[in-house]
Amino acid sequence: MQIAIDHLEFEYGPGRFRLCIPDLQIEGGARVAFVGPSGSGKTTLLRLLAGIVTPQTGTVTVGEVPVNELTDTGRRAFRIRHIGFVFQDFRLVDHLDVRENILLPYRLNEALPVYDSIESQVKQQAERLDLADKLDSPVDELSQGEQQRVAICRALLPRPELLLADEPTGNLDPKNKDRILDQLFQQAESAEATLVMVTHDHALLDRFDRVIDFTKFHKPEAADE
Amino acid sequence: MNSLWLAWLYLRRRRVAASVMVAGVALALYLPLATHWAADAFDEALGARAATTPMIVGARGSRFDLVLHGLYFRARSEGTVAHGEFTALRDAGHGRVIPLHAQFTAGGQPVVGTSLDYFEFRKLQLARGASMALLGDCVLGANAAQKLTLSPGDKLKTDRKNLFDLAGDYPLQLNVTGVLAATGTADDEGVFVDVKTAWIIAGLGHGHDEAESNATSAKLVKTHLEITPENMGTFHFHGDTTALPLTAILVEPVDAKETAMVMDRFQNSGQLQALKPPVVVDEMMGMVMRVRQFLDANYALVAGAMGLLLALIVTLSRRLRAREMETLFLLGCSRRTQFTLQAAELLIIFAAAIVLALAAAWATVGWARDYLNTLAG
Repeated sequence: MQIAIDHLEFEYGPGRFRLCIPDLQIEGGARVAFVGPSGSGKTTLLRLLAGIVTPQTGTVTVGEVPVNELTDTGRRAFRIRHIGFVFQDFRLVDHLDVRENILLPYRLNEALPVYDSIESQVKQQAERLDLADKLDSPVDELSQGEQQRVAICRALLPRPELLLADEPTGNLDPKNKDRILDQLFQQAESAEATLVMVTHDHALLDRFDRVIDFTKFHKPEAADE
Repeated sequence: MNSLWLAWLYLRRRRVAASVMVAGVALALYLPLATHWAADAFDEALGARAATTPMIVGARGSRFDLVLHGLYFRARSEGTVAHGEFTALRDAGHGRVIPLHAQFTAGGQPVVGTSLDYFEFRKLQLARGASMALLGDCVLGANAAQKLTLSPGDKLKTDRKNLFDLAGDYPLQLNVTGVLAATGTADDEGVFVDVKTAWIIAGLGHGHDEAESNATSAKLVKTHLEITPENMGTFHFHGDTTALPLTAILVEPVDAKETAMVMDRFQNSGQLQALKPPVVVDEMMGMVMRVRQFLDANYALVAGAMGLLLALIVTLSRRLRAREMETLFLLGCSRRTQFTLQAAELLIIFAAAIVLALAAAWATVGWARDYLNTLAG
């Protein structure tokens, strides 16, 4: 799923953080890393791509769909169907166990397509991420690394065409970091999905097809215009 | 279905908070429910019992007390009616006339001195054994037999009215001859004896043992009286038997004219009164209903306060769960689904509270019915 950004401008409020991207093209199936200092707009662009927020001007096209032109409901439906999002802070629901957290997108969206038996999919995905024996555990009893893996598992389960990951390896040890990356790349490849990942870990950048530095997109003050 | 499942998982994880909410709502529902149902049960049970008891004659005093005494054998200390009044009513041919003497207890159950007419009047059937035939015989109501674990052939001692009154009446040992079939009324609680047996319990009649003498012996120190085939013939009553007391007389006049005549007979009596239990019970329930209306107004306030409290809890809960709701939104959950989730949580809480309130109210009504039947005391 290719991505095209054209004359995008976004700000959270007058005089506050502002992101300007004149032109950005990402090919379908590419593995792309977003790098740059904190506050440079990496996470914001992920949220723009997912349709969680919309730009003030410009267009964000994901696949053939101009996401920012969709209604709230349309963007939500598009996100459910096509995009997997691994959040930096995991975004797990603490009163649910691991299994229910992974299944949550399906519980919330009955329209989500189910491949094979969803239960066996959950088991397989959990085995791949070394979570098979944790499926019935409450998520607040898991380590940070385990919680991160649950979040990844949840994002991968619906086999998204675009996988957005906000520092998914930030809480992992080196061994797990490589394993998770292998998983992400493998899943992206098998589903012919595009992988866009925010990272601060420069040691990982060799594994990506393309690295986009956000320093050039960030305009700290509107007055600069 | 998913919303209910997710709501259930949320409440299960926060079971203490959920339990408190369920208990609060259940209490708010239980109080008016239990009051209404219990009042209705009282009304129904009292009304049914009163409807089958056309008239009660007894000493003047509280009308409610006399009716409750006649219907439920509730102890009454407002005087008695002479046995002569009973014979006079019977001989006047007004209808069926039944004596009642209910002042004592045996094993905590009311001892009801009456005649065999009472069983016919109340349509009481023997489940086991035989009816009372001799002095000292008794027939137990179904619940009384169960509580006291007694069967025909067993013995039962009456309770002393005052344990420390050594000069007072001795308990009388009764012979259980039969057990009545259950009726679901106050009769299930009674220990029925002949009215003469009741007078012996009251110390108004006595017998003589051959062993009695003026000598002091441990064997002669009695702890209770017993009517045996040997001494039965010696039991007798001193003085004018028409003056012996009854606590009430049940009258079943043959028609409206006889009813009017009985009412008229006692209208100007200074000592006695004749009452129509259905009328008195209606009056009594009228008072209960007025109290219920007052309570209803209070329950409406309590329910309103509970509603506001719940609204506050839901509002605060939404704030506390703002991050969770945002997560659900990020995962593709619509605002409507979020609302449905919270509505499902409330639905489960209310459903559990309603079940709890209904169960508790049902248990309370069961208890209220039993309580009504054990008003004696």
